[in-house]
Amino acid sequence: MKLISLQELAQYSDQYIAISQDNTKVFASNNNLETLQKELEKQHIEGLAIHYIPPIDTVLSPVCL
Amino acid sequence: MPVIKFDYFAYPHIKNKKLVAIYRPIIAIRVSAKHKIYPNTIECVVDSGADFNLLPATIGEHLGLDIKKGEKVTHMGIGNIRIEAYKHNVSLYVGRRKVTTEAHFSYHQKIPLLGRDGFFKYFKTITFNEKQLLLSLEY
Repeated sequence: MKLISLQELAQYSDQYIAISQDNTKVFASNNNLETLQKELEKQHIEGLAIHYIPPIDTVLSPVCL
Repeated sequence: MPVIKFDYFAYPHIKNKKLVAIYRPIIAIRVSAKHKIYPNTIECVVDSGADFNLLPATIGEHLGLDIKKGEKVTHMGIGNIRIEAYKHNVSLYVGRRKVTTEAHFSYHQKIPLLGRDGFFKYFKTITFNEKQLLLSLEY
């Protein structure tokens, strides 16, 4: 199966996504993690990978002291 | 010694008006607390500049933690911005490796981070291979 493309991931800028473990399919997305969690629970879906896709017009400097 | 390896993850980024990939060292963890396990893996940035683990508060709430009952910790990041977080005991699972540690949960943090005192110190070596875009955890 085809891995999710960069172009497709870019659509989820500044959102959380729930993606299959093999990185081929996004099952749900939301900019609010709690809302995403509830959506997955409603659909009885578990075992996915939760990613936060940072805004694509920024870079990360997540130093956290 | 056992070694767990993760390919860096390619994130979309706009550079010079073009869509390019930024590769980041990300690992998938399972989190548990209070005999409850989060039902999905959480993809965390492995942050050598972070002292402690920092996770979105929603994850802790989903595990049944009363977030603000944890010890309050102030985190400072770039731009001297400070955010409040709350410390709780958790177990993190990376592959077959279980790490009993602490995580700080914050309502102001979106990106899950794994830091040196809360995560790195439980491994013998953590290697960032920038040529192969590969992260290795030896324990």
